[in-house]
Amino acid sequence: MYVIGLEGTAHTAGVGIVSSEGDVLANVKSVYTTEVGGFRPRDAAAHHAREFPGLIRQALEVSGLSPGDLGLVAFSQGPGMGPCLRTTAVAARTIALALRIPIVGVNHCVAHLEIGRLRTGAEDPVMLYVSGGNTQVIAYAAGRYRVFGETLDIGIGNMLDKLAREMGLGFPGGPRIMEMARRGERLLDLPYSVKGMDVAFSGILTAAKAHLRRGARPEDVAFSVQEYAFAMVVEAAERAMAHLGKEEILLAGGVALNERLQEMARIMAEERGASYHCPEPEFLPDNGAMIAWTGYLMYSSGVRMRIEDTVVRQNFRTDEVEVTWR
Amino acid sequence: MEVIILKRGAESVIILDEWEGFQVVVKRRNPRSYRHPELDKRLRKERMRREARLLRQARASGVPTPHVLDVRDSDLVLEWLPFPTLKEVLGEHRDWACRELGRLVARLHLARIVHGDLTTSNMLTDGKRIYLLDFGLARVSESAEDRGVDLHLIEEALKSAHPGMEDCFREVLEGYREEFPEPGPVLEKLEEIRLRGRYVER
Repeated sequence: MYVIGLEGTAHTAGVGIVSSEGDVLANVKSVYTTEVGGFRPRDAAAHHAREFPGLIRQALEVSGLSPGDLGLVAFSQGPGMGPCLRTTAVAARTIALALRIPIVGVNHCVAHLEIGRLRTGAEDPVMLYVSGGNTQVIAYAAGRYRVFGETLDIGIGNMLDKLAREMGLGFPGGPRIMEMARRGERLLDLPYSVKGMDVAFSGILTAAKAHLRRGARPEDVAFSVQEYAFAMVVEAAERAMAHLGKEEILLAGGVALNERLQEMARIMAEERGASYHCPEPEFLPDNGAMIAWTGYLMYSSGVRMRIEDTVVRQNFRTDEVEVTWR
Repeated sequence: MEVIILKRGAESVIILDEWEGFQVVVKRRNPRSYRHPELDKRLRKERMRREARLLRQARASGVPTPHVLDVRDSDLVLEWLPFPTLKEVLGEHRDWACRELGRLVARLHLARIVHGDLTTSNMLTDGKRIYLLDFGLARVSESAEDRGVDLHLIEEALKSAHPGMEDCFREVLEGYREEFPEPGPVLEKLEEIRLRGRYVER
């Protein structure tokens, strides 16, 4: 069976095609960005509406399949921005109705975990999921994926974006901060906020801005923010591993593209005698393949949805999904 | 004297040592090489000091804990209490220990401290008193959520390490109610946390 998956919870419109054997045949995307100013959900949704038809055609082309070969359509049902989710759902429903194939709505966070398991072979990992809006430590327990730790204020990626804007760097901020951090030398004083398995970042942002105002080298600020923020999330993940007795760490989310974060997570795993897992770069940020694969897992374990069940869910919680396929 | 490692945990090692002629327990926080060395050093030092402070405050509030004898860099030097853990002997002492444990946790909470790691292996008893150990995850908090988590940790620890002692937790709550004025919000949170299932055992 071939499954097409549509991702569209935030900036990214992504389309992936996977086979029931777990081969990824296509994984294309288009990312909404702004030169100035912040993220406008309605503009992002308009971007997705514009891009999806072309992306779907492109995915079919790359995979060498024709529409008639598709047996299932999956889409990101939530959590995310309402306008983006609704646009994506309309595109998915259109495919389902036009091709007369079944449709399933997928939880975006669960999809990150499942594509990570597929690509890395991790079996029962603690997932450190770090992106613009999300910062969560997720693991499987008692039939569901549960959030064991998360940010108490802003997402780690949002924090990096805001810092980048403060420094006059563009969006997304993460890659530019990483470049700049390479030339940092001095570790500046910042708040380190880990409470149990939860973290908080707004204090770091405030302190980093204050350092900049006082004339600190931006390179040192970028370096210090990375050292603090990444150590915090790695420690939160480490605590979850100790608490749950799990021996694999899996990275997910766009911020996990950062080499320093990867290095820290790898060292932490080595020191605990655990294993480190990080999928290829294309599967870290939001992508369509993760939705397609999770949709397949759900469908093959008996999950069925009518069109009426495909209403989007902006606040779709990870632990609301009954994991029927494990 | 030979140095004996009592426990090698994820956060720290516990060593039996000698200090000024006394037998003592030294708690040494493990370095984390994924962290920048300066940050790591700073954190270990801060956390040791916080732990020492909270141990002393707990004791001053009527919660038995080992005496803090010294804090040096990232080492905590503690009084050696040669007693079995509550995990080992809860069965013999259940007639008084469960209720007493609830009272102690209430006293701790009234002193604005949450422990964060309340398992029966972090408790010792001489048959008359219960001593709380390991304040490594403890912090100052007055939130019903944090207090509820403390109670839930005990519940989970009893369930996993002491099967067949289900009514012990009921007595823990009785003891807590005795000592904690207006425990309503905390007990409501406990119920909520149970349903959330975030702290379920593996």
